[in-house]
Amino acid sequence: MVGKGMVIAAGAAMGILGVLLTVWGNPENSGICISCFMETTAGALGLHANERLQYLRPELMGFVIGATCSALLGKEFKSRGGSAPMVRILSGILLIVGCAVFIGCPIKMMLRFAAGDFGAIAGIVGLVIGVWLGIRSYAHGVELPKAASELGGSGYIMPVAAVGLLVLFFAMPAFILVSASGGGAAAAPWILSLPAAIFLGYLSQRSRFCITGSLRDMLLMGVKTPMFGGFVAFAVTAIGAAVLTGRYHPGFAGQPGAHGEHLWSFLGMLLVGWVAVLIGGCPFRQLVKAGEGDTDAGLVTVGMLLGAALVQAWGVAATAAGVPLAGKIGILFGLIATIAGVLAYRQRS
Amino acid sequence: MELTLKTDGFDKILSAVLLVLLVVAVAMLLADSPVPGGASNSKVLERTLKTQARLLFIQNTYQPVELLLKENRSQEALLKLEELAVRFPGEAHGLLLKASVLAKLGADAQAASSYAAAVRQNGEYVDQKNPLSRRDEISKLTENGLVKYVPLSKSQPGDVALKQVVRDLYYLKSRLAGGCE
Repeated sequence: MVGKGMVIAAGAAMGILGVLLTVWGNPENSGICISCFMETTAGALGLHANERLQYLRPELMGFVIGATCSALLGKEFKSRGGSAPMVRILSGILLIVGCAVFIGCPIKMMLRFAAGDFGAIAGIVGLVIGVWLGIRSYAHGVELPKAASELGGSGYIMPVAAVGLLVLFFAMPAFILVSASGGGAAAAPWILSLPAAIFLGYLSQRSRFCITGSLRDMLLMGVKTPMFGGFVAFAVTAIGAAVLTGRYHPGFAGQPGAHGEHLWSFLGMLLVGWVAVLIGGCPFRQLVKAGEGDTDAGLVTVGMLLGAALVQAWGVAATAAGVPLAGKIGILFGLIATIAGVLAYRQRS
Repeated sequence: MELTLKTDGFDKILSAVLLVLLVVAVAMLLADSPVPGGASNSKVLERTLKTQARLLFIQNTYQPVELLLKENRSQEALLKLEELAVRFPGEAHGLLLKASVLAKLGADAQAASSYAAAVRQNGEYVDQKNPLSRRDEISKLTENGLVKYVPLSKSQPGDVALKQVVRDLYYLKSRLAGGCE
């Protein structure tokens, strides 16, 4: 059983650090954004050609390493997986498609809202409905196959990969690309961002806190769930930090890293919520689970990296100018794939 | 704990080889990073050449326009830009200069549209530190434009052109505010 205090601590830490990372140099309202970080990391690895989104974000590695440390210390590290691997990879891609059309993962969605971006409300509504659809799918017998323990320490692959990427971050070999301008060039110093990410990864593994999981538990159990406290702590501290640092600018239009196509923001986050519930967590939670030995979450992470490359290379990602046609088609295909998956994995007996 | 602690000679040999390979690989990786905190020389060179080529193109192509602007011959500068737009349709710097001239002439609505089109193509115009940055003039037009056109658009809800101007101004505001792109 997860302690309520730990969940509140995790939520509060995420809210405060999510804003502080922006103060320290990350893009506005993107102190923590797994999809944005994935896109810049994919760019740094040469997987797409957008020169303004290339930076090997140490936060991503930090989340995984922090979760691994926590799992090892708490004797919770366990190599497990084997549950519909291809579905996991595809789900990772779909999560990023949804996030890229909204411009941000569920954490960034809340950070955008906390900074006064009311356009994020469409995403919040979409996420809640997506999570509800995921719960309803479960209630109607939709479930991916059970994961099993894996011998051979396959669960260590993602943590080792995170350490490897961190080595590349410090070594900066020739093939690692770095943006000279744009979102990829906006970054908090690693001396601040890396420890912050490790700390958050640690706390989140301990507490199991994540935005989508909180919403799921709240829809299932109401305010009695410990996640409610974490969610409220996150929202309150993020809004407080945004106000105190002069980053609260209420309004619908002209917000940083946002567009006004609310229907597509709604649908993007609906897709994220639905998929996240079916695979057991939002993009951030997948990183944390990958850090504690869950190879299914590791495959989702691989899918997210692939998706991050594709949304940039194929022009799926939305910008402040709006949602491109490819993005809209991507969302529709994402919903089609999700419904097909729900039909295919439904236990009818 | 999953990994077995019982080791034999085979384990020891493989572990030793693994360690040696790891050290060699990391050393080779470090040796391949000649520029501290950046990409390799070839990539830096490639990027520098690209930037310089763009700056040279801008200088060569738009020098007549810049000269006319220096002499405050804004109308002639606009005509020259129209002429260049035939050769290079939709070119970002041409759109930016056009916006700049229109702003000087007080045609804020058209200027906003032209600035937005330029920034959509090249985000460097709103970057803080960039040789091509025009952040200050775009920021000024955006702030003033929003004060002027938002109430106007609200009072004339049927005016599609006004709505587009406000949309362009909000786009510029969003880009100036930063965030992920």
